[in-house]
Amino acid sequence: MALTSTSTIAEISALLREKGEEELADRLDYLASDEDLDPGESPATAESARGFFEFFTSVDSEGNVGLGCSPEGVICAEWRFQDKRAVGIWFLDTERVRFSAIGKDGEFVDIKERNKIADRSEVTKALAELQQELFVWRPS
Amino acid sequence: MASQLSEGISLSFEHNVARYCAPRNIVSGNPIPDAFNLRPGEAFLSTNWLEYFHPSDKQLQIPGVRRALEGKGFRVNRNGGFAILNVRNTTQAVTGASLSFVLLGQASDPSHAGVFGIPEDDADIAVALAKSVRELHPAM
Repeated sequence: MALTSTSTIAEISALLREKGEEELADRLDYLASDEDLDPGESPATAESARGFFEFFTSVDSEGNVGLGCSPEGVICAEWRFQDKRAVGIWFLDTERVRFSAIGKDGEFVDIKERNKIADRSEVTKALAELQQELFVWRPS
Repeated sequence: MASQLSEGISLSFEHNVARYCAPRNIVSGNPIPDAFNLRPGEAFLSTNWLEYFHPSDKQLQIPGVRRALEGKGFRVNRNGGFAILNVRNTTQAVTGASLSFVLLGQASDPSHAGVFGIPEDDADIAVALAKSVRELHPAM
């Protein structure tokens, strides 16, 4: 099975399980469910989940990833590290993100797309190639 | 203690506020940055002043916050949590913004406090706020 432009959240969860990411798949299933939803809130959208999956499978990180969700169903992924580094990415849909990242020096990273709506592919490349040890490209 | 401002009372550095975090924005006892995003139409981040309930005892402060929210009709989820933000630590940790913690003192909730100076959809501040949280207490 591979990710397609119409993959559902259930299919994306299955793909994560294939990669041994059981906890992440469980979390995604939870965010896509009605559990703990308050009135007016929406479950995570498949578009947002596809964007997360594309990013997550492109890069590796020593940080621990956790997933949350906005009331509109936008997945927010956070990577936590043992030191001052931190990353938060909102997957607005399959192709667009908003992100912020803090480097080893405790300062926000100097990437022009930071804190703006930006193209996911460009942000992935910028973060993977940044000399802050946040992410590295996954071997293909 | 607190000093009087024209809009409310500014909380001093040694004081603390609690921010309710929905279960969908809590992972492994940590809040996800989306818990600190302003929602559309919000002018400030809504919090509650802990020392209103007791000078230091969390066993009294946290239930006090929960009762204050429920008294206003807010639904506190049993799986949610309260993230504690210290005014000094948070103000120093969130670079690039001038945050102010203001006690709003509404009749319906005298402990209601706002964190002002946060633009809407600001990923930098949301990530920095999440990282500055030192404690997260179960809502129930």
